[in-house]
Amino acid sequence: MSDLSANPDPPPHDEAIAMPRPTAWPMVLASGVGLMAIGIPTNLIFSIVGLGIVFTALFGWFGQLLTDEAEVEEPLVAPERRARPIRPSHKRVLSPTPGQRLELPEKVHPYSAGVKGGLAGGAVMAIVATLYGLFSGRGLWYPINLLAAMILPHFADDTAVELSQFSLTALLVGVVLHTVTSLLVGLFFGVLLPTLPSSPVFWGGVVGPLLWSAGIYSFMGVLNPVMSDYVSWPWFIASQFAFGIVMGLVVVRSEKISALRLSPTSEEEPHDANS
Amino acid sequence: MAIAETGQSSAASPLVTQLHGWVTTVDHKRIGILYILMSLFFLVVGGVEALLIRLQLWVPNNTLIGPDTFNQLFTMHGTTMIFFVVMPMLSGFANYLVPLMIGCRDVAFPRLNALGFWLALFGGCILYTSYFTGDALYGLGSAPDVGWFAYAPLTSPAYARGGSVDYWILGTLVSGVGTLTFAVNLIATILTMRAPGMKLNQVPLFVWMMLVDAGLIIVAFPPLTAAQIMLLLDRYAGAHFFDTQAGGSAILWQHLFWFFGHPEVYIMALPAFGIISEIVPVFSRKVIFGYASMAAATAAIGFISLGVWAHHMFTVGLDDRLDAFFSAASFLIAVPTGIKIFNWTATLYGGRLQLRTPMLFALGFLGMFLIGGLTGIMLATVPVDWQVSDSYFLVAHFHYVLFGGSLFALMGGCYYWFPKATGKMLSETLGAWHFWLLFVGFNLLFGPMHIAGIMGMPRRVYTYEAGQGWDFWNQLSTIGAFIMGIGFLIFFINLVLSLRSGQKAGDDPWDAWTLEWATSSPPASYNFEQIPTVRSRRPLWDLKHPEDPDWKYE
Amino acid sequence: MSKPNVDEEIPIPPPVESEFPLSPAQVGMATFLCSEAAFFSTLVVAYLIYLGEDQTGPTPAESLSLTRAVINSAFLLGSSGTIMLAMNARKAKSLNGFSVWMFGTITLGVLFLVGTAYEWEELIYQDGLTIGRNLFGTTFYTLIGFHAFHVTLGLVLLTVITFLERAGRLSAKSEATELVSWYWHFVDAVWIVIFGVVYWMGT
Repeated sequence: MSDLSANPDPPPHDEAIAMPRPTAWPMVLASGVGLMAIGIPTNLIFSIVGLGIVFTALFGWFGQLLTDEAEVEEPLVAPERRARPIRPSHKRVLSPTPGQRLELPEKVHPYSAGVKGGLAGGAVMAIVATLYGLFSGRGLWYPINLLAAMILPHFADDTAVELSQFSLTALLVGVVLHTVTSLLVGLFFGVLLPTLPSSPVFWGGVVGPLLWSAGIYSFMGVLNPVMSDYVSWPWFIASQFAFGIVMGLVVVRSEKISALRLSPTSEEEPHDANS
Repeated sequence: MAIAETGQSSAASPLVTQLHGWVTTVDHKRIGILYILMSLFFLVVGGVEALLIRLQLWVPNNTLIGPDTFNQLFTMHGTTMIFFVVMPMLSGFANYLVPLMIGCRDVAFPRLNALGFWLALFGGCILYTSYFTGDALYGLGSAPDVGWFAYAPLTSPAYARGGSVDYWILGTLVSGVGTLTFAVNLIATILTMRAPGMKLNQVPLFVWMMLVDAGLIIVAFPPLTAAQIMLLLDRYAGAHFFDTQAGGSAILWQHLFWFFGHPEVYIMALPAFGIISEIVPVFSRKVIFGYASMAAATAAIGFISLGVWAHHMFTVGLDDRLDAFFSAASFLIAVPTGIKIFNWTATLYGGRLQLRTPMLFALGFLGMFLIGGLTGIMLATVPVDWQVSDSYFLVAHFHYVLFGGSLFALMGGCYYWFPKATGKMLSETLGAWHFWLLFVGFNLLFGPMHIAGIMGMPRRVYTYEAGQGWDFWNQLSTIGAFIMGIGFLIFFINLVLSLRSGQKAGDDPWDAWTLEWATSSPPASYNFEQIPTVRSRRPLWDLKHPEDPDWKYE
Repeated sequence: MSKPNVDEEIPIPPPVESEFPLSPAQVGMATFLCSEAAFFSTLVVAYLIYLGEDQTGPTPAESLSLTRAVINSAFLLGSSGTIMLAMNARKAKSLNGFSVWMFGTITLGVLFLVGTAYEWEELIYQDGLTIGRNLFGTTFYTLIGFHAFHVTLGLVLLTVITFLERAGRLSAKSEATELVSWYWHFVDAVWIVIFGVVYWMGT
């Protein structure tokens, strides 16, 4: 391996390599095109001459391509002007610390764990939110309508009374929105978890909900003005924590699998097979 | 058929023979160098135009340059810098580097490649012919004066008499066709001519980003060509595409132009990202962080950039829902761009940084592009855009993106690959001077423009009244412009001096890991005596460190 | 990971095969056709935007003849079939079969152009529709004109490639003929879109 290792099939010539022959036809063709263009604002004579040049150039170009003249045998340059073979370097290199090569965890949670966690967390969160609706006396549909108001613009005009009434559209929109978000957050968490240090329930149950709640709190005025006006923040944060803890528990309890089984090139052998 | 000879006849004088060799060349490396020389030539032209603009704005009520000439100057400056400086320079880098990086002897269609260059060059010539036609012969400049995006109805026969707008249309049209041939060629080369063993997810990131870039060119340039042909038909055949009096729409031109114009911003930025992704790991002595996410982010940028064009048109008065959509899409594009910035930062983190000139430019790029990106997010917010659109704030924003972003990276690329192309190192001392003058001058020039813009100074005014608080910021800008001018002067001196008596470079002066450093400097016309075989993303690392090769990890 | 070993102990894996399924010329042609598609899309979009925006006639419904368009389409679509037969004949190494079918393709292409010429003649002299008359004229002539220009270019290419094949100037593995047929199919596909947008929607 002192040289860049050779091709399986040897080069056709030892002393020369076939390369395309230099030709002026491309330049001539381009000048013809340029003249054709110049003719438009000046005088059509230029365009006609340009067209003639274009045809001549095309004729010459393809005429040359069809013959043996298309290629020329370039002799190899003198050995002293060739590239030196690349030798193993004895320079000290950074030992492969994390980040020197991107090192991924060897064992990860399967995607299904993230999905399951997200759905379970979402279910619990929905229960907490419904409890809030019941306990606060605003009714079962209140939290769902608040969520749906993010998408349904006319809800912005509604009063608190209307928000507690049943609406099929709001129910559908709310359920879809809630399921999709829970699923995505769960998936994201499942993928991210193995790369985070220690205690997964801490990340899922404390840090995640805190970050998420803070983010929602600051963006809510823009995303969902109705909700930001009517929501009860303690209950909202409580439901976030319920989601996070349940999701974290479900993901952690799943069986970890080898990362290789997730990668798209899974047919390759595991590279530590020879160790 | 004398025209097709190899140019080795002994009778001709060496200079003529050399020139003949360059004119008839189909070697991707020579064409790449031709592209870069063309770009540097137009850089000087466009730079002088910018300096004239800055001189005119030095004091209020200046009479150095009249309003007509001023309009021509900013039109020519914009058109030149975008179509005839950044585009050929990125084509040049791609032409020179892609075949070397993927380990093949030439591009897929070498003759078509030459055609692309000559079309680009003649396109530039056509644009500048306008100075020598019509009124110009009587002592008046007759260059186009409609701005680089040439909004209708300024371009209609009634408002643009004479041929100046035609030269703008035809010059960019012809060079645009050249750019298309370049893109076709590049895609075919990257997809089909990689060295044995090099999978598509193992190409250097520069190659990957050029692939996405070429794809964007294929989608974005033809609509511009079509729009320009429509405009020509309006002007010459009496068609009514952009003729509002006959029911045509001036807004249609804006849509068509920006459908090209916004992807064009990314067409100019992606190669810069690619260059940075090559320079940063080598001078941090680390693997690029997150190759896959980098590649995916590039593809995402390419895709999203096709759906954001109307954020250039918030002040037109489109439908509110359209505004909201394009604003949201523009925010979205910040995500993959942010991923890239984080990946580069993560590559720097914990590395053993070597602050050679290419790395200086790469770090300069990171900072300047970040500022440009952040003001971009501000401008994507519709209400903010309504306030500062078409002010100097906007001018500052896109110069931070295109100059602080693209051009800084391209300059860094010049320092990084000059040793490969010539066999000589560029002087580090002059390089440092070049960088710091450019960096200081750049921020002095474009930083104050943010303030002038927020204070209400509109773009494209040829002069302004005193007492609006703009004088000081404009004078800072002008000083910055001349500092940058000196910086570029040092760059050109550096190029000439180093070419004549630079330190010998050797095959691999930076101890880098991609295939272009495996061949000699400068490479022979056939690139590699033997086509290399590749097993990982860093084939040279594998050879230099056989005890710990990359292919074990990929 | 295993500890760093000495050079000889690490088996170097054979390079992975990374052949792309298409040849460079095929990728080049496909890319070129993509850019052409983007070009024609722009023209079609312009046509659709201005459809029905005219204050004065003639309108598509008044001036276009669906019957003529159907006949014209039959010529062009038929030529896609004949060029496919020509390619099959070429694969079967039958030079005469190839020439006959190519001749048929060229004839159908010329008939299409003649049909377009008749249509334009009628539009210009009977309906008074010119490119400057109204928006319909502007967009119609631009779109149809560029398509007809591509057909003309295609006919030149077909003629040249047939002569080259007959003269034996192309090697058996040359891809030029196949690529020209790709181009011809593309021109046909564009016509199907035009037929739908201009003739079917308009009349």
